[in-house]
Amino acid sequence: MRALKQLLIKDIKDLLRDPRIFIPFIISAVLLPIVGIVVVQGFRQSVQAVIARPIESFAVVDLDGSELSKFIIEALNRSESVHIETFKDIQEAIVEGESEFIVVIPPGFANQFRSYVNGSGAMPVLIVIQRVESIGLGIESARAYRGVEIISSILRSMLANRLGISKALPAVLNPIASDVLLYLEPRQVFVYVTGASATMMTLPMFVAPLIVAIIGLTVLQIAATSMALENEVKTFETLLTLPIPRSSILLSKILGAFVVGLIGSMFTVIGFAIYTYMVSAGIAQYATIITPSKSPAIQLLLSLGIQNIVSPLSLLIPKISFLAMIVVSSIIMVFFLAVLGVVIGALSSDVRIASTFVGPLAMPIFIAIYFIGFTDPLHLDSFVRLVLLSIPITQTALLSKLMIVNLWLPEITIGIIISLSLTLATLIVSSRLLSMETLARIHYYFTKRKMRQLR
Amino acid sequence: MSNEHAVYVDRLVKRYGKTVALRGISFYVDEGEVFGLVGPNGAGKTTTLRILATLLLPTSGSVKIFGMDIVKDANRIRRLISYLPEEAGTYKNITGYEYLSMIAHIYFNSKKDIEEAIELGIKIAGIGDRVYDKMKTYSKGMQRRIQLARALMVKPRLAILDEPTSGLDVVQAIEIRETIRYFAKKLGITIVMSSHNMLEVQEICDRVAIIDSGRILEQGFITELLSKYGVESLEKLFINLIRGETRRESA
Ligand SMILES: Nc1ncnc2c1ncn2[C@@H]1O[C@H](COP(=O)(O)OP(=O)(O)O)[C@@H](O)[C@H]1O
Ligand SMILES: [Mg+2]
Repeated sequence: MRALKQLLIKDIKDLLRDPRIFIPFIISAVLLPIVGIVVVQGFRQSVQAVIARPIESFAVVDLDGSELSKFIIEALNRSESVHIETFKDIQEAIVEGESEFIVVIPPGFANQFRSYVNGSGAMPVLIVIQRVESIGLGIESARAYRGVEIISSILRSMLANRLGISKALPAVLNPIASDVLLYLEPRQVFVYVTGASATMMTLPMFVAPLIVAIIGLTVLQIAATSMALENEVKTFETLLTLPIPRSSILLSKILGAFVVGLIGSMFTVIGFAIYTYMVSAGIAQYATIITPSKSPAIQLLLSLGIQNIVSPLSLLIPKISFLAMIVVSSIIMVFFLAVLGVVIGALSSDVRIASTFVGPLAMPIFIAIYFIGFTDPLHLDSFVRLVLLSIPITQTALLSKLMIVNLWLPEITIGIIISLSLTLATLIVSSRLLSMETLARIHYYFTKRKMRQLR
Repeated sequence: MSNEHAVYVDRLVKRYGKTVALRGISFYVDEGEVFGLVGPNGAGKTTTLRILATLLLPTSGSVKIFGMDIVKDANRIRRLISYLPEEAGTYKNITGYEYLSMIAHIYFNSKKDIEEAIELGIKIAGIGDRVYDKMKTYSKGMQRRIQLARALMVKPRLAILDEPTSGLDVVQAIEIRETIRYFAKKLGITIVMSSHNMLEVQEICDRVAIIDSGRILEQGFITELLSKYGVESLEKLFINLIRGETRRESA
């Protein structure tokens, strides 16, 4: 214990005073907000692209059964650019329909429309149900508004034909409003939130694994650097002859990297917070929040006796077991990366070689986490899902994703067990590596190769 | 028999895969001696010293330190020895004082012992107030002095020094040699050191073993060896031995 404390203090001092360690922290704190600007631009463009893609088909449920609703459906059927599915009720449309969204013409729509046109009533509302697989980026709902826009234009031209333009002017300009609901397929519930605001709410789930990854990678980098430094100046050889347990040497390296990594990640996390703020502010432009009592869509569903409507907040309040799993998984990930760092550092005879190994690791890790952030975990092949849940790096990201749909899969338990074993195996391998016998051979091999190249 | 020796090496063999680094060497070191392992680069000096320092395992043969087996009693042996690796450097961003203090805290429990060790360390290092500077500001000679101080200040029963002067300039090397000689005798520390510099060994060692290609060619008190072969320096002796060896091999 005494030796462990001494070694730990030495490691922390030596690392925190090293510009090679703290300058990268500061750089990433500055760099991330710049990345934020780029990402926001990219996000805007992808929203535009989603909105711009033509609407090919949608479903219509006519609960009004009026002349007007029949007229709308006929007009839609005549249209060559969209294909229309028609259903008698909402459940049927959800179960049998295949379109990306469902437009519901509510009872009394025609009457409402008539009085609105005459200038005496409120704007009639069409209900739109957007089908989603997960609450992800959610920009799809922008497309539902475009579906409504098609109906708007039908009504607009009808009014222009039948009525005097002046009287119907407001109705010509804005013939109908719409109210979009999400239908979360895996859990079979309606969520009263539009896509973009759902994104705001689920952003923490997306960002949390990235922050864990940043901390983990920092810890890995530090562990590798500090271990390689020991090799570089031959101090490690000395450590191995001191009257201290081998485990203290390994543990002091891992803990030292943990402490310094956490301190260092603070900078990065601050940079990341600014970045996240910028991104969410960018997304917020597309967000609208629905108050259930004022939502015609929810009122309609309730009046039809449909009860499976949840607030987006309920999606964010996960089962305790899920939350605990994510905490466990984060710790496993950081620990795994710390051990990996020690292994890489031990194999490297100097800091440069260590950086050569560590550098290329960051990219694939972040790409993997981003990839998981944007994919639908339930549509993955179950074997792929098990693999992703078993690797300490991808596990946290996928767990957070599954937490949003609150679906506990048997793969989760198996994955945690596998990742724990993987981490322990790495720990055992690294404690083996921490003998001069192995290190001497590896370094001898590297220097001999270097000498051959020099010749 | 072996209990009387500080170090007792018997038919020690070390292989690295196909390479045979030590081909069955035997020697002993008595308590209080300064013993030199001398030979050219690649002779097997570092390998031998790493085995003595419990860093590497012997392939075969036996090594005993103060009667304890190097493999079975490694943990006990580590309490009695200190080791200075070849080309030893230092941590860059901590001060010499902080480093000596860390080592003292690892070896000793009582405040008194710790303070005594640090004081002795500062004395052996002999770099004045520079001991409070970060070690990255030290010259190579100062770095080696701190490392040597670290190795001797804990008053080990046996200090294993691998080429303690390699990479240093003449003045730095002389200072290191004098420090080793002076404090070894003063503190009663048995020293096993290696060198490829015959002159240096002749200057500070009591007894030597001449090693080449993993074999010990000759060993004994320096004065006795010189008179036995009728030469005036170890260098000459070494050349004679090498020539003798090649003549025997080609015959
Ligand atoms: N880790 C190793 N793997 C393979 N061969 C090694 C290793 N270390 C040393 N050798 C070889 O063993 C022999 C002795 O090396 P060494 O003990 O370092 O010699 P010295 O210290 O006398 O220069 C050399 O031929 C060297 O190439
Ligand atoms: Mg050597």
